[in-house]
Amino acid sequence: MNTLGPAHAVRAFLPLLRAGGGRVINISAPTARVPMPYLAALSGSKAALSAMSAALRLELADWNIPVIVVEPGATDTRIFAKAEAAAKMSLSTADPGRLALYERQLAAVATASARQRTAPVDSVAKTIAAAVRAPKPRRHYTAGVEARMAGLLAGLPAGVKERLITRLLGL
Amino acid sequence: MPADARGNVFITGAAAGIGAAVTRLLADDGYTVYAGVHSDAGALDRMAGVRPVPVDVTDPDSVAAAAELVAGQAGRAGLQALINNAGIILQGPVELMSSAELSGSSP
Repeated sequence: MNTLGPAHAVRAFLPLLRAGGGRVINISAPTARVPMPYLAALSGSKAALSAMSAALRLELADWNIPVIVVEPGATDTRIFAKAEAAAKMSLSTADPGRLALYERQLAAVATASARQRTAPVDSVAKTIAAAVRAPKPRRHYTAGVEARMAGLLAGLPAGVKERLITRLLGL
Repeated sequence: MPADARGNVFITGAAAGIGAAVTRLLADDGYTVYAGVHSDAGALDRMAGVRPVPVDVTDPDSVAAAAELVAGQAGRAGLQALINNAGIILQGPVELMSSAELSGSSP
């Protein structure tokens, strides 16, 4: 859904965007640049979305159709509760022996995510609306502290970054 | 279109969360928002400047049908923005994920 959905939509809506002098805005995530453990599928799908956006930007430059990536950090919406409920369902069907191996890690991550501060949804919406309105939009917008922190983390050497993430999650 | 109309926007995942907030903000701002919703349009149905469009972004045929519907209504003005907002967070150890979850065929 995170990668192929936008690809299908771009394919289907490009004639309308050409007609209207429009732009493509893809909502990615900080995990696109800083992959997080236990969020491998999200990290991979959003990294793919960001890479696809960068490729598409060059493909659509001939028609002056900007391709914009917005990275909101954790936001005060139900998507995280939904993810947690889905994960609980999924873990309930997982092999108990293998699940037991992850007991400590999953408890640490649950504690860390309970501590996580979320950005109000309206501030993220404002950033996306700004990307819609800007006469000359940027390639990249971030919304929230977490997304800006990802920018800093992304530039660190891999070893340092991994130690920081491990400590941040209490692993 | 009202005199202060700014143009047309299509957004996926408009029923909840960030999508719903963006939809409200842009509609208030004078855009006509074609609001892509997977199942229930909820309060979007009654909002001025918002036109709910059923769409399942994982199904190319459904996305094509949504584009056709928008094209029929937006006409030559086209679209000022396509906002790919619909998304899902899948969490948990890779080792413990089902094949269906990993291939994206399960929610």
